[in-house]
Amino acid sequence: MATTTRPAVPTAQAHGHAHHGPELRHHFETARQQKEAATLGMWAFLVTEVMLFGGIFMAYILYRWAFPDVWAESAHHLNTPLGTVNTVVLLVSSLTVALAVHAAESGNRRTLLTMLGITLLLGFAFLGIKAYEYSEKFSHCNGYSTPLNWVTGTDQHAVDECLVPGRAFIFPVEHGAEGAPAGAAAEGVAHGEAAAVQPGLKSPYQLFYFLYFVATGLHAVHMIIGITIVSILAFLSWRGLFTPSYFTPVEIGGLYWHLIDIVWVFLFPLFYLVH
Amino acid sequence: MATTNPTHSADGHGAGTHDEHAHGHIGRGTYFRVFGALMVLMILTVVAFYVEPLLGFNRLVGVIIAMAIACTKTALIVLYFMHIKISERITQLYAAASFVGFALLVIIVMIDYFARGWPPAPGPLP
Repeated sequence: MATTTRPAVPTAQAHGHAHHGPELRHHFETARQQKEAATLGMWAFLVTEVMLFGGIFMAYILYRWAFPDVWAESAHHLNTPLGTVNTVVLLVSSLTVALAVHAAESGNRRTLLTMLGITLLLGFAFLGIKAYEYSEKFSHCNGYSTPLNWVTGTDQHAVDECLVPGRAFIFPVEHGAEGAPAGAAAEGVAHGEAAAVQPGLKSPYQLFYFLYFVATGLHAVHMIIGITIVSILAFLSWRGLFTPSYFTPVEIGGLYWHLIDIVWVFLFPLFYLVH
Repeated sequence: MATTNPTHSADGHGAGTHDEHAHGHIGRGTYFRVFGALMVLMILTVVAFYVEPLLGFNRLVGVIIAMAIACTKTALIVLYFMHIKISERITQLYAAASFVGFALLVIIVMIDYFARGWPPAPGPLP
């Protein structure tokens, strides 16, 4: 598209840029109108993003409504402190992105680069913590209690827990657990010992973890795209592309980052803060 | 985009105020205050999660508190960080439309499920 909308250089010179910068495409009357068009287009895309995550939230509402006990027991096995840290990381990154847009608006290239750099670091921190949480779940499935043990191959002992949906899924029932499903099966479980009930595909607890992995996984994919966008923005601002009259890419890239933040604002209480 | 300009000049803004509105500006101080509010809300939602069982709150009350806080955080991010407060009317409409669209999805689907007997009767889980 860019090649068709960008006028050829000789034409542009013949036309003259006396009244505006070269960044203004000639089918727009003013730079402001061009920025409005880009912002509106980005919002149209963000609406589709809301509907994409909306489908997952819809499934979540439907099943949590029906199986509140399954939700309450399942959520206990997620790492709430790490989820809280990740929430803080994303909120701070949203602030740095807002400050980056502000810096671009006021033509402060140094602050813009600093803020985009901090945003990148925070984005990687978020993904790192998320990756640790995932690997914790996967290491349990492979019989190790922590990812570190899994990597070094030490301290393998049977962990009767596998919270990754699939054939190997085992949900541990802790002693005194209330509302255990399938009364007869739970009755037979020895008191005081974590034991598996209904392993594999028959376990009702899989639904929670399936939604957890799909929702946070899709969110993580968005984070990776967001980090890519912020990297490109940092490169472009390092090249000195942005001026107070033209910083639309920073603005709409920022909109994308904030959307990712909003999705996490809902994912955090819906998966980590359930009782 | 040609449609935005006529609607805007026709909605009662004088030419002068129109320009000021379009170049509306959110200062650094506002961003820091909004961030402070977001952190307070984040702490509130976590504290509420740990305190609610001690107070014997109903499960539904907990969900409502958590969602009310999440919606407030979203409103702050959308209005200030995403500049919807100082955006064009048409952009504000798009932002609102995404939430209306999601609400329609939930309402229509839930009406259908409840009409067919949801949630399922208690008993062994399927």
